[in-house]
Amino acid sequence: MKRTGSILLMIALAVVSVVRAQTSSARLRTSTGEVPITVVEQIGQLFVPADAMSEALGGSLTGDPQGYRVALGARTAGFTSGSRFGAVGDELIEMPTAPIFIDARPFLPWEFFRELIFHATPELELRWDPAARLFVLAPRRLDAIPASISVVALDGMTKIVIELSREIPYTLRRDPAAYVIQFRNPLTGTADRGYEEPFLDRVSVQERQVIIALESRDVAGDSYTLQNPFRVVIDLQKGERVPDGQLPLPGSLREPASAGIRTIVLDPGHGGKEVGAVGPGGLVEKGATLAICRRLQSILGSTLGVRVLLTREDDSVVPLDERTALANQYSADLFLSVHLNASRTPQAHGAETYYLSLDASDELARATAERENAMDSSAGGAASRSDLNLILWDLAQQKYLKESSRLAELVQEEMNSASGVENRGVKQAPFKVLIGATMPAALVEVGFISNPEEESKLASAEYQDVIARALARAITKFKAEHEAHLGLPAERSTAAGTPAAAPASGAQ
Amino acid sequence: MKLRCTIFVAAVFFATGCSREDPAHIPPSAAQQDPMESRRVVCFYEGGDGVLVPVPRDLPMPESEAAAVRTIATALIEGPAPGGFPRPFPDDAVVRGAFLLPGGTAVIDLGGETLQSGWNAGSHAELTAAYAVVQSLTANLSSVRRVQLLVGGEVVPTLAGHLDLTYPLTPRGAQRLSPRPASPPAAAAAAVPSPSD
Repeated sequence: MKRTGSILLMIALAVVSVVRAQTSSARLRTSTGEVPITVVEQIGQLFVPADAMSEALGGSLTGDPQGYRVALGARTAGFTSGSRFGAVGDELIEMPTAPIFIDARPFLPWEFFRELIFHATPELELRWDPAARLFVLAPRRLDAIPASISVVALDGMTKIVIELSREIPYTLRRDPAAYVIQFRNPLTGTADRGYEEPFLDRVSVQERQVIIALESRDVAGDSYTLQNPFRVVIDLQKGERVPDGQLPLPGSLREPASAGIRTIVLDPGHGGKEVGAVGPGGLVEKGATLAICRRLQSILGSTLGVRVLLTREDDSVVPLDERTALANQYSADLFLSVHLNASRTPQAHGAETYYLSLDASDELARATAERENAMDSSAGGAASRSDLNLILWDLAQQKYLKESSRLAELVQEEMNSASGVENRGVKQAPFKVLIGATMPAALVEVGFISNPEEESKLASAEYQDVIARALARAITKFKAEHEAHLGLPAERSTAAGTPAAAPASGAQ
Repeated sequence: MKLRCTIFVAAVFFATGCSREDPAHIPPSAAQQDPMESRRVVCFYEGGDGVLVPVPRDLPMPESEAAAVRTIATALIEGPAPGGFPRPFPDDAVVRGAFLLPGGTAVIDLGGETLQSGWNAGSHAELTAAYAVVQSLTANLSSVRRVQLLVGGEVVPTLAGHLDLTYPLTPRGAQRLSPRPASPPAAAAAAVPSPSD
């Protein structure tokens, strides 16, 4: 009761603070003239009305507190009440604080529109002049960023590393025989150069663009970024010929939805000295998860024809961060971590499936804010800044929660129907192996190794095959749903793409 | 990750203005100086259906909430548990230290051979243990809003390979607000004391 009272008091104070928020007048200057804008200043933060600002910038606002959309040009940005993170497409927009509401009208930190303008019209920027109380939408003033480019042939691929003095936003597109990386800022310190490395013809730098001319059209690439220092990496290797028209985007900046599910990463829980849970009969989690994942890999490889990778192929230790990083690096479209559960209560039994909890995102966001404040009030330093980058990266899974939720549902449904074990349901938790995944991701606990009866089943190859087939059906259904949602054509062979609920004896 | 852990510890103990010498740090001796009045609190244990349930316990509680953090954490983690309920942590787990930071983060430093050498447990056991602490502290102490678990004085990625402990944990609403009465594992239900109020 005491705690409830405190919470009510806090809510009351928050409401009062909103009601007492001071509104004042400002102006927005664009190329077409000036318009007045009402602003709110609260605890040192400047808020602007989402509706009026959107319209003044030539856009529009739709939605409700569950999810607002600001359409501006060809881009749409989203935000919700209570969260300081919005999104433009699949890019996060980070605001200094969450939106506030006055008479049910959303007011956003003005920085939201600054970021939206960058994504919608990169050649323009929105600035705030506090002395003149004036927002200005004007051509962007950009510093030139020192950059260096290195190329190395390694492990059958050619790796191009573009190192910048600091992180700046960029986009990437594939032309028939080139990758074009468009940075926000102009680059300095680089020069055009031809190469004799495999797959690569030439790297050219044209102010904000780096053009990687390929040896031929059948060179494929993956891209990803590294921090400290910030680097954009393009890995080139032999691939399928890129057709005219629909050109696939590689790597971390691909539109993940556009290509459907092409790469799946399976994560056998634990490994090496991290044995995981051990059953009363001696079954060790790390071995059983690897066996199930190997079987699942085999089924998916033959039925779906997609690339299926494991985070570990043997009994080795792979840190949790590296498991997710591997999936990100391979531009995986789906990540499934497989575990065996254990409880200190021997009766506990059944299967359950997890996806990342919003708690984790909220807490990460709070930690980010704390870290920013610490940086502002201290000398800053590369370490703090890199730490902040890590946290922001950790928020990546937030963008995929809806898809991850659906993946978890399908996994749980198939586990229920196939295994006959108790349905413990779909749950959310801040599991470390899920947090940094930039794709739909779930963790399934296929049964309780601490329960003698379930341990006995989990130890058998036949039951492991039942589980693998159930998980394969779940992934197949998710792939079909996901790709249908994108308007992609259905798989060629339904029969091949839907692993049958084989009898327990149907092992490979 | 190591870098993040180091920085986080630095942020916790320095950026917030607290250190091991800070008054917010309540060592056992300081806690014992508070008046010790027995008070009924609720500690969370794993019930027979596998979810955390509130179980009433009478503990000698110091008046200071900062000191009470250690009292509740120690009772929960070092046991003994009330009849019928399993202890949420390994039997050799201990509370090395307990702190309450000004922003509402309770820091519990765990020790013991099992936790410090790597706890081979399932996610269920790990979640149950961690959130038993979080729920118990936030349910009884209004100034505790989140809980940071350390092991051996350091931020660790996880306790047993699943739950991310590099950030503080916040209470889980569904479990915290569970209207269900305490329900121990069936085998020991008869041994459970019933709440008197």
